Amino acid sequence: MNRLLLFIRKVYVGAIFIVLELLSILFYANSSPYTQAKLLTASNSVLSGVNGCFASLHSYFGLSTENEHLAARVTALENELAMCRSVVDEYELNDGLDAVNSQFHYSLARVVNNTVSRQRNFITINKGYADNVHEDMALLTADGCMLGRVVVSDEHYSVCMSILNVDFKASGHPLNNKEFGSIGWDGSSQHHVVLSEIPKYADIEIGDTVVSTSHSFVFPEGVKIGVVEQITNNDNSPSSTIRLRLCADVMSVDKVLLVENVDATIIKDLENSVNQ
Amino acid sequence: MHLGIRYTILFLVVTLLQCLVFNQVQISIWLNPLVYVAFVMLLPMRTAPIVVLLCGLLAGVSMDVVSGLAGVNTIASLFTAYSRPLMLKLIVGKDVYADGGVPAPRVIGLNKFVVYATLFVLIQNLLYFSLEAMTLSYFYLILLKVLLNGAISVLLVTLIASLFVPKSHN
Repeated sequence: MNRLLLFIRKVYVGAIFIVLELLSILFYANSSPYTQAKLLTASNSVLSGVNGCFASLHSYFGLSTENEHLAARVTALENELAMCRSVVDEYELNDGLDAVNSQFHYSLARVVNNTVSRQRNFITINKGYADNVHEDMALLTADGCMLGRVVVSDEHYSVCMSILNVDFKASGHPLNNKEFGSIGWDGSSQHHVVLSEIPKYADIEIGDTVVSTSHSFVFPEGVKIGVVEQITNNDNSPSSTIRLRLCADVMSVDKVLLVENVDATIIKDLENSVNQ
Repeated sequence: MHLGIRYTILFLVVTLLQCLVFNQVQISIWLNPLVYVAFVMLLPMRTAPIVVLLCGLLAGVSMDVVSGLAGVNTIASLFTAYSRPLMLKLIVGKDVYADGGVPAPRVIGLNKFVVYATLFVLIQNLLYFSLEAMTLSYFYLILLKVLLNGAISVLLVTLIASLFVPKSHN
């Protein structure tokens, strides 16, 4: 009996270590980007006050650059609006405008937490389902560049998968070309993403702007993603890999745009009904 | 000051430093030094292994909760906490280990402390960054992160250890 007790005393730390380690490995192995986002939303309810403080400080120091960006954006949009108005006037479309419903609704939010140093980065924003924010809404920078998409929402906060997340996927094509490919992050730089699966014969040059395609129910068509910086052709593959310089500066985002696709549920239901 | 209170303060300070300062630093995707390991590293050498293990669990779980990483910190912290007695015995020798003091530069000497800190931080970083990436296909990126953040963490941990054990404890 004594020997047994001695033996237990000798090995119990090791045994507890193995049990605890196995439990945490089990939890880790069953986790997904969704679990991580869920955990972040939970911790955010505790840390939101502190994070909010840091975000305000960050926001205060970025005010002047932010103002410049917004002013430039306003000018660009004013020009576009003026052009649209002249088209409406010229073709006397005024009566028909009331019947047109936009497929996308835009709203504004603020970043309260933003991780950048992981392979799977997330952005927490200060709007939740109480503000009509829900899963699969698009996240754009204030000047309209692709930034991420909402993964989980709680009442007042939402966690979004950043474009700097190796699980992030979107499709994109060059502005002057309809050949599209898949956008993903390779974890190597905060300023670059990779556009893969573009056919080699596609006429793409360095400096071309790449925008989102119409194939997604998350992102509106034509959202700027980045500029072609490097084109790599692999002899063994029929497609080329293109390195894009991101249009969004993910590290310094503060105000962000949320885009809701009003038809997303209808499209998803339709697709699900086919899959069943 | 009572030992329990000192270690509670140390735990709070390093946890807050980690989640409010080092996890918020948005200078580069490469920078993510882990300083919260200082809590388990600096427990007195006479601490029972089971207590060290439970402290590792506490540090890991609290970091996982605040940073939204499911289990990554816990797996790494449990492993380093469990292997801590062996590391210390190998580095400072059985006699110094039996004395049971705090493994800080002023007690075990700066050289030995740096070796101890480097080993501890390297194991923690290697587990943390490879588990966080969830794949080994980014091997060189992970290795670079481990080495870069490892070096910064060792520096910071040495600084924390020097502040935690003042000269009078020599």
